[in-house]
Amino acid sequence: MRNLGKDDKADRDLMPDNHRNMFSVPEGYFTSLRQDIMAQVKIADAGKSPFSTPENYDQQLREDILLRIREEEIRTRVSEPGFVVPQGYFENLSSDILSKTSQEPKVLPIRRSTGWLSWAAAASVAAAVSMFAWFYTGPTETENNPIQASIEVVPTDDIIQYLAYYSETGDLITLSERMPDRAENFSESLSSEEIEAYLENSI
Amino acid sequence: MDDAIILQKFAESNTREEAFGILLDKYQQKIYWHVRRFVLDHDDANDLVQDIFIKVWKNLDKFRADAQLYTWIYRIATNECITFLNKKKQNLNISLDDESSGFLADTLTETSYFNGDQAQIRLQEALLTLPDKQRLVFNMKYFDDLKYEEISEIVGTSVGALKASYHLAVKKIERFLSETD
Repeated sequence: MRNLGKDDKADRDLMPDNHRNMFSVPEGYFTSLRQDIMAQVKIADAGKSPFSTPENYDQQLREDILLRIREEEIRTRVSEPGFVVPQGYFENLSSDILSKTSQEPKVLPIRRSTGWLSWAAAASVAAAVSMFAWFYTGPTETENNPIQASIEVVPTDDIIQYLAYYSETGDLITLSERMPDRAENFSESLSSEEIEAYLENSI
Repeated sequence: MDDAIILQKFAESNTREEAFGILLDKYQQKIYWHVRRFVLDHDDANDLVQDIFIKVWKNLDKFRADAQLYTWIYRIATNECITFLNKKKQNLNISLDDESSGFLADTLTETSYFNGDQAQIRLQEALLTLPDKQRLVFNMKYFDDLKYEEISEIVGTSVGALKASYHLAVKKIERFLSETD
């Protein structure tokens, strides 16, 4: 064999021409190759599922299936819980509940009624206070007590109006507790229904 | 009738009672059984159901439609049940640290409205070994077939925690039933 390294020019003549390809391809091959590859890529993409699953889904699925199996085991052993109700219970339940909703106490406005009952109760208290002041303090004590002297000059109607508008039920209860026994006479002039109605409207 | 229509009718004073009647017809049985499965005794369940729907009546006008109506009612029912059992425990000097209600097991044999066989009694005994809240979750999932998301709205616990709780409950019950066979 000839030593290819000795004669560079000769060697180059015999060595493959790197710029001349020995192989040939069909005409327009590379153009259609690009199109073929792109088509294959689209087919490959179309085969992929558009759906994804949550993380650790496989394990969760396994646990859920085992859970369903356990539930079925329980249902196989016990198909019904065993509870029963009285006959006709549900037919009557609605009417029982509805009757209770209509018994609910009415919502009263904050501004209390100043009807005649409030006035009557306030008048009773004012009269009792006046009587207590008259019988237990006397005129000389009034002269010496400036507060009582101030109350004495206030017209009774003004006292009644004040009590009717501003008294809380608690105030009236406190006042009635401090009234002398003869104050009980005032309750006799009012019927128990009237007193009850007053108390209901005052709370 | 759709809940939105019930709420609309309830908002009108002249159709309020009619709307409430419709709401009762729609939900009373579901709520009754939810309560009954928890407290076991019919008379206790009856009292509770009535109290629950009185609360619904009083507060329905404040209900905001940011949750489903029935999950809202279920929430009221669930809270009333837990309060009821806690009171019963206090009356029986049972520590509230004991989260289960095993003392109710006697109710099964005492109540005249339970005609279950041995298997059914064992299931209830198994349920009573669970902490009350876990038992509630189990009942809502197993008997009422509510979704975890709905139970989450009712009890205020995350879906993940509920799933874990339910899985554990089912395992405990299955083990209890197998051990007592």
